[in-house]
Amino acid sequence: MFWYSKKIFNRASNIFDMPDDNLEEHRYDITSSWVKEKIVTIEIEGKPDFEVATPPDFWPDSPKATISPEDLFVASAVSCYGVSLSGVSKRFHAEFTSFKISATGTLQKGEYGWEFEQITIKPQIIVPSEKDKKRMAKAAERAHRFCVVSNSMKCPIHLDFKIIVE
Amino acid sequence: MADHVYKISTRVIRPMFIGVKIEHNDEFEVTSPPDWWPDAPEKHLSPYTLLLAASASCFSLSASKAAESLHTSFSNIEVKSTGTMSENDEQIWSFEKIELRVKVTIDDASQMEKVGRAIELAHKTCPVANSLNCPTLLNYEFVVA
Repeated sequence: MFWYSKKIFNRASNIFDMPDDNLEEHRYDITSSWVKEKIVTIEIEGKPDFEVATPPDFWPDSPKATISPEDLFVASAVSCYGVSLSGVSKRFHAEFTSFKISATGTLQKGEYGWEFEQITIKPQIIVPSEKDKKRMAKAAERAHRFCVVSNSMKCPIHLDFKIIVE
Repeated sequence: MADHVYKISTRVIRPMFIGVKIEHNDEFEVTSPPDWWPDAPEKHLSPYTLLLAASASCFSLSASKAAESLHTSFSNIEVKSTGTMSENDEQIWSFEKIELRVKVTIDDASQMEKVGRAIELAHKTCPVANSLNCPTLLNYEFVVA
């Protein structure tokens, strides 16, 4: 098992997410509209709309099947890592059979109210051989270092990965 | 519930496609957006749009809470959010800024000042904006219905 904390590494170039050189800008637009108290929509062009609500830890009556901004925040970090790992492992010629990643984010009281204290990302990667295990260890760390979302976050993002040969 | 802990799990579905599972919700697929991966399917969410969605929805919900605490209200709020990335000298990409353009509808013009304070308070206290490295820029206007 390996532990990495995003904040203690120097960050080098992004080897996976190489942008399309024809596109000069990386801009993303979304709209959020009011539904009712404590519930809003998210509308992204070409994608199905969905609702977002204040989470149950701040609103006990929050509808269970509605995601919260805090869920989305953690989901953006962990999905960014997952997509990066998928691409970086290919570049490192590290084969995997499957992987699953769990992530936990916690809030703390900050200077201006609540803020994320940390996010811990725990990938479990199944590889077919010892050779892949070595390569995958490098890929797992590299995917973390180059993740655009976690590089945009102020809180520490801890990585705790496990690679299993099966 | 005392703890503010959020747990998410993901798995690889096929190369470049990640299934995201949030408790009590159906799994959904996320992949790279077309500006990073030209073959990206159009209808998929990306990690970047999820982050913007977190930012915009956090602001709106914080505005509602702030209005309540200041004993005022608005009848509608619409947030248009744009996130822009840039690359630093070490060729690391990250969000450079997130811009929120907010239209607040109020029924009574006399509430404008108080609601304005609620909007400013929401901007200051939104947990998502407070957890980002990049600035979240706010621009808001009122519509009196």
